[in-house]
Amino acid sequence: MAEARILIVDDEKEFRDTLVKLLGRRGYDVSTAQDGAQGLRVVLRGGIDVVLLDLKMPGLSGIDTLREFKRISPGLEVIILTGHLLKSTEQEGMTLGAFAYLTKPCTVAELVQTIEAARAARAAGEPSGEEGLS
Amino acid sequence: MIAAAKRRRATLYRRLLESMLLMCLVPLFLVGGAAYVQFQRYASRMVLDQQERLVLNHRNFIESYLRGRSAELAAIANQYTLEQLRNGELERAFAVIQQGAGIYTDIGMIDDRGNHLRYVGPYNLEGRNYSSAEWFLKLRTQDMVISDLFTGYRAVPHFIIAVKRTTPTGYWILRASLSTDYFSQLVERIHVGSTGEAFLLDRHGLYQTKTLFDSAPLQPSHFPFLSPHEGVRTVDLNFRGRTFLCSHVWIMGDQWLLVFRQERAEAFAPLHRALWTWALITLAALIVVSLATFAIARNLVGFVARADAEKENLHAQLLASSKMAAIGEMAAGVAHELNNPLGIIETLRTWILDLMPEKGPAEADVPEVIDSARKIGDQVERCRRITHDLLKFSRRVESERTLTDINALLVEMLQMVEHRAKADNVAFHLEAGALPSIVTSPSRLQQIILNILNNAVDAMEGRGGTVTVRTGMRGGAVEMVFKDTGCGIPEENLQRIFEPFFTTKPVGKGTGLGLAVCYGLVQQMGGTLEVQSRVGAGTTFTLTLPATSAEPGEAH
Repeated sequence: MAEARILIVDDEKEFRDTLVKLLGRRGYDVSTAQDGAQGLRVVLRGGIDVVLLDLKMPGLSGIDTLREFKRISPGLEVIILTGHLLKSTEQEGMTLGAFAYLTKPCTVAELVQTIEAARAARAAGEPSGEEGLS
Repeated sequence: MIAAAKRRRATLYRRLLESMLLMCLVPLFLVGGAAYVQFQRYASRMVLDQQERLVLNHRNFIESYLRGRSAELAAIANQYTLEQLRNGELERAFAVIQQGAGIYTDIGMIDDRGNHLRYVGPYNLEGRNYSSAEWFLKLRTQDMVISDLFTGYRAVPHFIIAVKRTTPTGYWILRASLSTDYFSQLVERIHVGSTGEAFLLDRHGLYQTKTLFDSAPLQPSHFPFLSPHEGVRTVDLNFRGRTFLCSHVWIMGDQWLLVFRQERAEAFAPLHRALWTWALITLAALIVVSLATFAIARNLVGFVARADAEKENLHAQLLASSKMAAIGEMAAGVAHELNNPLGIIETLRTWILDLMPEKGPAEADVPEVIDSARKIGDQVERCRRITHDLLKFSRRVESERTLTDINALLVEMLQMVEHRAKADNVAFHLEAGALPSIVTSPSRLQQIILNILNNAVDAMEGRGGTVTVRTGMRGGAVEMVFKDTGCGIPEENLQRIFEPFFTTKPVGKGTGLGLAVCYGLVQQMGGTLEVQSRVGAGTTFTLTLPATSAEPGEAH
């Protein structure tokens, strides 16, 4: 399996930086964005397999960002990774097409497992390798 | 609040009593009073009528008795000649009319010159001359005379009936004196009760018969109404310190005045007894009605008291549930704020483990491990601040009324809400003016402020914004102004935001109780809560509390 390209969208710098190092060490190609708008620009450039998305961020909200991701790249797998515990928010995210809903704090092992599952799902749903802008 | 309800119930009880008593007693008094007056009038009339009728009947009886006697004498005078009577028939005739009853005292014959020709009776009166006697003079022009009481030759009070027999040569007279005792008994026979009696007076007011209290016959009576009149008259007369009801009527033309008198108290005794009975019945009715009124009013107020207690209970539940909702909303935000540093700690922990294989870290990785550990420390400090603020917040939750520094309270609360609202990118500014500390319930004030701030954050709808809190004194009251840059409230909703269960939040997000409960709390604290808003520009809540907070009935 080729090197997976991951995008982290989170307003917490400390969280982003540590996660980059952790995932990099585990063989992932990791990009970061500090808010929704920046995340959208990265996705638009192409090449992202899986997005780790926070929900509570300044500017464009996580839910709105998710909606945009799914609009511009329906095959993109989005894992919501947030401190938000409300069941209603989880339901909303899953309805909008998120792959999974993880709550902070979660272990790196759990995170890697979910990323792998998402990659597998993406590979299964997109065998022809169709990519980029739609 | 409980004391206020108690006062309200006391007022209700008093008003109920007043109006119900008024409603029951006024008609009772009116009807009873009217009936009393009418009955008394009617019954007094009855007593007078009865007495007057008695007097009239008695007059008729006495007159017919006297006419009967004079008719008897006239019959003897007409039946016999002068000679027959002088020669023994007088004695026989006397025995016949006497009937063994002692109606007459004596009988005699007098010629037209006044000489007593023949006499039958206990006194020695034969040969006396009556030519100057009043009754004799009257007989010149009349056929019959009934005299007033007089003493005459016998020196004993008596009165006589005399009839004139006219003959071709002149006339002679048959004269009988009535037994005074017998006649007195006739007159007196209408005794009523212990004071009711009848007697006769002549035109000069001299007693003609005996009476119970005063007087023998021929004594003056001093009766003041001796002028002739028609029919019966009834007057009140004082006599020896007692009031008598006197009915009098002239009899035998206007020769004698027949008087019937009875002590007023005795005459009206049956009436008074009836009125007393009536008054007792009325009093009993008053007591029953009053007791019933008291019982009903007490009962009604009891119902209200139970309803008040239920309301109080419900109010407490509402307060608790809305407080829980406000705290719950904040708790979710705070949990998010705790989860973020915890997430970072978890990743740093994993990173340290990554750098620390079994044999220990590579020389180059040591600064990295130390840096990660330091960063964990930063995140722990971040968590500590949040829990510390939470602790301060929770200390206020149970506190009762106490001297409170509003500005300090606001600082604490804003720190708290900042944790919750950080992710929403909401900034808070406190422009604290000089305020006196006021006696109030910090937990309630906290609940009110928390509701307003939660709403302000929600109004940002995730776009971020600023909440400015300004404090100061205005007209002797502490004023707190909460101004947000949120979405604003449309005019049509602005009217309704303090209504219970009114909410524009999605189902499951808001109870619609927050502001309604706040409004109730503020009113209880003697303050005001006002709202101004413009759609798109933001909303301003203005909360005022009395600086010298009395808060009646706040104590539990």
